[in-house]
Amino acid sequence: MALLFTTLLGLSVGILFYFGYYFAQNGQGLPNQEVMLWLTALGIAFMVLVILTSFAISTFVVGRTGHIAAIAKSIMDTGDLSQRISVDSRWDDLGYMAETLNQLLARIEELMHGVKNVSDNIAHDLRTPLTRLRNNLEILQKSAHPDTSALCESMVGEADRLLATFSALLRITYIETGRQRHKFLNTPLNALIRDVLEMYEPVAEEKGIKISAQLDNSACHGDRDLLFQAFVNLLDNAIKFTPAGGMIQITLDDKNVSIADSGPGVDMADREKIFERFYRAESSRNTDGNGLGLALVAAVVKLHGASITVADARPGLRVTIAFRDA
Amino acid sequence: MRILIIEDDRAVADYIRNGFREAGIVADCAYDGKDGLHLATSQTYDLLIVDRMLPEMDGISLIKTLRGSGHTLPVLILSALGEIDDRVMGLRSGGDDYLVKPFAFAELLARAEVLARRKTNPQASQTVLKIADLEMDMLARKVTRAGKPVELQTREFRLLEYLVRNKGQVVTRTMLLENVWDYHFDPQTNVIDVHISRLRGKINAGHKIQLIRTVRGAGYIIED
Repeated sequence: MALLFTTLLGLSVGILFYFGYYFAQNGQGLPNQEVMLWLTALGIAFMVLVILTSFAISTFVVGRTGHIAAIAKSIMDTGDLSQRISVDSRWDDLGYMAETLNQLLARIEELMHGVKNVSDNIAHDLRTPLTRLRNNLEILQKSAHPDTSALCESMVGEADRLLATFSALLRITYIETGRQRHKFLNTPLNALIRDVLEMYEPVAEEKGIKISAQLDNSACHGDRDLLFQAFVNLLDNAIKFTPAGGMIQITLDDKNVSIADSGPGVDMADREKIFERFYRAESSRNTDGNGLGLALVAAVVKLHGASITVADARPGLRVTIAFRDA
Repeated sequence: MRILIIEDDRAVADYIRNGFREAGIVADCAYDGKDGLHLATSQTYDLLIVDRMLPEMDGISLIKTLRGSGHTLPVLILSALGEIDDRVMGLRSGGDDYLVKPFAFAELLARAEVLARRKTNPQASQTVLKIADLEMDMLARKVTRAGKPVELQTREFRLLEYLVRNKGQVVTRTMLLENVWDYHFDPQTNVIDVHISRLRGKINAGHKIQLIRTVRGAGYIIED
């Protein structure tokens, strides 16, 4: 837009000058034609200069705003708040804006980090007293009256679920630190997925769900236990949300793993949020789970430099993980 | 069976010791690495339970020293950390099993009993395993119950093998996951129970005595 505008402006002023020159040649009473000619030539040269300068400025401005927009979009897409806008110049308004935006990003990152740290510290510090509570309840249960024994048992179970949630939370954080990357190995994805299937097929069968799989021979560079856990979480979800008699399709095609179920699917508006910690869609509030399963999947996917997408399987949900070449 | 617990958190150490006492097992406690090493080398124990983080001498160094001087007694490592990296490091240093704090006592008890009896387990090197009227031929990979063949899939065979090798002892779901499936992960659902019920269906069909009993709050056991 800016380019077009300056070019048009230059052109129109140039034409104006041309007409001025034309009238000057044919007009009467003008003192010196040669002076006029020189003046006009100078004017035209000046205009060309203006056009070139404004072209350069607009290219620069568009480039800079484009860069800022690209970084902002990339932060939104990846959720990686550690990215910053590069500041190449400090004399102009855009450089100043970039610096201010960077400070804003740093502040957001700090706050996000703080929130995460607090929840991790709570999880970490509460584990010990909670374990003690759980253990004492267990001791109490042994000597309890039959009526209270059942109550004790359900309390132990509740404490165990709390502890499991804390462990899951801390595990996600540990995965996010990326420390496990150094022990990545070449992992054949088809063997891994077959193991997951072999383990969960009986669970699906009990619910009358059929699983079909189509797997090629692609492999990826990764951690087999974590990948196993990620696929287990996805398949477990698929089984949970697929009604009896439904279908689950798993495909592995050139490092792309996709799991499609025939459940109710996920609303468009919720698709971004399902990978957040503790997020549970309205429709799944009554099913088992702590809301951390998909957050763990997202952490594992990120650790492997892969991408995860959610789409409509008509009916149902299709989750696809795309691994890249190592 | 006699057990030595080396753990600096006295509340945890007492909890473990009391648990073992109730199960009829004698357990001693040491509260730092040096004392622990001294006790472990001067007395005879069937099993050592060692915390990773200890004052004076950390758990890993303690195990390395012990192994370096030729002691072969089984060691179970307790750890508050618990990522797979730590597990691998713990097992490489000479530990035989690894348990992450916090744990249920039933889990520790089951693991301790399996570890302590491993050395004296006569089934360890046998090629035919027997339990009641069930026989497992480890070479031909065939199972018979009262002389009749039972068809099992590879994983079911390994599941049954693990149970039979540890017969008379409770094995927990986590132990089965680690030893039969060889993946370290959290299964989300009662997937092990489903596999056990399938296995039960196959080996118990048409028989009066039902093998593989569920132990509430702990796991499974197979008995004569």
